[in-house]
Amino acid sequence: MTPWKPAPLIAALLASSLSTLGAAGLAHVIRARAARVSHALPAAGRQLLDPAQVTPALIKQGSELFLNSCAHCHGADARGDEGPDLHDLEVSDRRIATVITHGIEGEMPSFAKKHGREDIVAIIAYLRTLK
Amino acid sequence: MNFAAIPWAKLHGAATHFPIVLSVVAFACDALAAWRWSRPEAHGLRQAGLGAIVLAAAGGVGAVVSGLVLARGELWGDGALGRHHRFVWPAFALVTGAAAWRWAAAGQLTRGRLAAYAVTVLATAGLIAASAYYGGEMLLGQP
Repeated sequence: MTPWKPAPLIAALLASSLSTLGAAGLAHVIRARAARVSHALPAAGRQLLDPAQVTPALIKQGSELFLNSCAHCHGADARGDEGPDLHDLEVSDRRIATVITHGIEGEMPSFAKKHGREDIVAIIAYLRTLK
Repeated sequence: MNFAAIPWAKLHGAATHFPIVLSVVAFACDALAAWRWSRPEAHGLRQAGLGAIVLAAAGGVGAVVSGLVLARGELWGDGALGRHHRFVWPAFALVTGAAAWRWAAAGQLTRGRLAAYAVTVLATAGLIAASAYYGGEMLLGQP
């Protein structure tokens, strides 16, 4: 029987570690570059919404902002009207923020002048309650 | 060099198919080589298995680099992207580790070691297939 040598196993562990750490490092570089060149909201953290910050008051604030700015197209219950249903959104907080801030060409106006970061965080907190 | 002008989405689509296909090829070749260990064709199958897993890992590197650019550096994410990443990272670690092991162990393979390796590659192929499914969901699934 061929004697067992640890070198292949070490090579495998090294390759796995280096590849995943390399990917994490590359992701960090890309995020830093994206934050530098992006016109979207500043990258204080990848998630705009820290779960610890979500309070009933924040959700209520988001609900009021939603009724004022979004309900006209998305419906008062957010079940969709002219705009789509916003329940169970499977997009990131950042994506929601970008859509609110920049709008969607030909479909939805920009709310950049009306709502700043704090408003958007409140709206996202409310939207995440829509299940 | 204009970084944004590079067609990252097309590159990602092209690169991902290397690990998707070649991990299955690597499993098939090395599983057959283990099964028919002492037959004349086993040597050729082992060579093909080694080439397939090395190319699968190389394609995986290209897929991960282009994918990270597309996801703007997001390592996890929500929804389909999160589910995609849940399978991508273990698959990537396994395919690069398997390729390194297979390359380094080429001179000291035994039937049992090759069979155990083939099982690992099969698991890797399963993870890659799952990540590919959720990658497809991002493109073709319901918004």
